[in-house]
Amino acid sequence: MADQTPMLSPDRAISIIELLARHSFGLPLSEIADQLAIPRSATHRLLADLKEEGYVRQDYDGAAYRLTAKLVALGYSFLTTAGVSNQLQPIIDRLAEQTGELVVLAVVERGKLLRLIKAQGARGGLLYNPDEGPEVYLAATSNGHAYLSTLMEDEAIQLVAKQGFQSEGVGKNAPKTFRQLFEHVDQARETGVARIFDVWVDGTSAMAAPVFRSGTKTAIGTISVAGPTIRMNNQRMDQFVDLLKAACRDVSETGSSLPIFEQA
Amino acid sequence: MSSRSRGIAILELLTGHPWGLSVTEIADQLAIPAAATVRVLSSLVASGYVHGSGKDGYYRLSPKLPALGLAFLGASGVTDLVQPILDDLAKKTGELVRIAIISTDKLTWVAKSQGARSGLLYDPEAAADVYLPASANGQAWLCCLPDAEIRRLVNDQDINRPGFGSGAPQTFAELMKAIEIARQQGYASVRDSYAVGTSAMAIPIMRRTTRRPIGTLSVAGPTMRMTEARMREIFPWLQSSAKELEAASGSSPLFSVQ
Repeated sequence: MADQTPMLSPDRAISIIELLARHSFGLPLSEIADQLAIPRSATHRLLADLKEEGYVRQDYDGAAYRLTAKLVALGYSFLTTAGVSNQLQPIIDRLAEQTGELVVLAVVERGKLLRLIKAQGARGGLLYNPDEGPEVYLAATSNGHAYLSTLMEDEAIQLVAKQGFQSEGVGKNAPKTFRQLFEHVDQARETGVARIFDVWVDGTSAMAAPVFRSGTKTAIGTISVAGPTIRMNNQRMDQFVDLLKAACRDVSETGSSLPIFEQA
Repeated sequence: MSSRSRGIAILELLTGHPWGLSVTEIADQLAIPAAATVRVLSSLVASGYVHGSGKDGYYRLSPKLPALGLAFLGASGVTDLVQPILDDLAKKTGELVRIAIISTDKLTWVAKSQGARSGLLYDPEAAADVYLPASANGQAWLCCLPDAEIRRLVNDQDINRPGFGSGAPQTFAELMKAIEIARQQGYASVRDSYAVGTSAMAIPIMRRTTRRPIGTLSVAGPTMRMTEARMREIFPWLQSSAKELEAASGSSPLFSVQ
C-alpha cells in the first residue's frame, strides 16, 4: 500500500508497535486509533494481524492491547547475530558486577544516542532501574554529557536544540540553559568523565564516558554507571573511573567494527 | 490470510543479517516486487530503522529496533513481562506453570500461573526454596552443572529428605540416573516425587550471553494427566516459553548479573 502517510514511521503496523512500546500497560483500540489518526476499522485489522504474528496480546476481548516479548526477542536475536551479545554484553556485565550499579551502553545513531545494552549490578535493596525510552535526553544525562563533550560546540548546540530543553520530568539540578549545560560538558571534556548528581532523576547520580571508534576521536557510543545518590557520591565515582574507562576502551577495541555502530 | 506488514517482514529478515542484504535478496526472500521493496526500504531508512544502502548497496538494521525493545523491557518490568508468558503456557498445557530463579546456591519459586480451570489440580503452597533432588525444577538446574557441583549442592540439602513422594531419588546414584535421563531427553521429569500423585517437567532458562542457567521453568499436574506422552507434547511449548523468558530476562533486576 503506497498510500500510507509515513508520519512517525514507514507503516502503520510499526507505528502501533512504537506506540505500545511506550505504554507497557497497553492501550485500548480507540486510543491507538486516535493517537495515530488511523480509522478504527483499519486499526482493528492491523491489531488483529499483529496479534496473529505474535507482537501484540489482548488478555480478553475488549481489554487493552499490549506488546508481547517478541519485539524484545527480535532485538536480542539481532544483537546476538551481530556479535553484540558475545562481545559487548560481557564487558557491560563485568562493569555492572564490579560497580554493583546499573550500567548502560548507548550507541550514537545519526546524532542521537540510543540505549542498547543494560546490566543491573545491584542485587537488591535500593536499586535504580529507570523507566526510560530508547533515546537518551542529551542535556540532563551523564551519557548525553559524555557524548556532547566529544563534539564541536556548534554541533553540540544543534543536537541539544533539536531535542529542546525539558523542564519537567528531570531532576532538580538539570541544566536549564546552554550556559549551565556547557559547565557540565566542559568538565566532562577536561576529566574524560561526565558526572551528574540529581540531574536526570532526583535521588540518583551517574557517571559516563565516551566510546571512541578505534584509533579515532569520533564517539560511537557512551557507557554510564548509575545508582542511588546515597551510594553514588564523588568518592565512589573516583573508584569507578578507571573501571569505566577500561570498559570504554574494551568496547572500542572489540566493538568498533560491529554492525551496530555507525561505520566510518 | 494475514495482510502482513511488509515493513515488519523486512525488519525481521534483516535481524538475521546484521551485515545487510541487497534489494534483490530482500525482494526474493520475501517474494515482494523489487519496486515495492525499494519503496518500503526507503521509508524504513527515513524513519531510522534501517541504514541506507552505502557504497556496497546493502541495507542493514540500525540499533533503533533493539533499543526500542530494551526501552519496552525497562518500562514493563519483570512481572508484567514474565507473567503473560507463564499465563500463555498455562493456558496451552492446562496445568500449573512455575518459574524459579537461581540465586547463588538456591533455587526460589518466584511466579506461577495455574492453567487447570477446575477439578483435579495441583497447586502447592509456595515453599520459598526448592528442594533440589525431588523436584523437576531442581533437576533441570542440576543438569547444567558438573558432577562435583551437583554433589556439593545436594549434600547441602541432603538426599532422601522425609515428606516427599515415593518417586523421589533415595540415593545420590538414583539422582544421577535421573539427571542422565533428563540430559538425554532434553527436560527433567519427576513422577510422584515432590508430591504424591503429581508429576512435573522442567527445563533451565539460560542467560543469553554466558549460556549459564539463571532459572528454571516447569509444568506440573496430576500424574494421571501428566503422562510421558503428554510431556513429550508439552516439551516444545516449554522450550519456546523458556526462550521468551530468556529474552525478557535481559535487564530485569530479578535476574541480576550473577
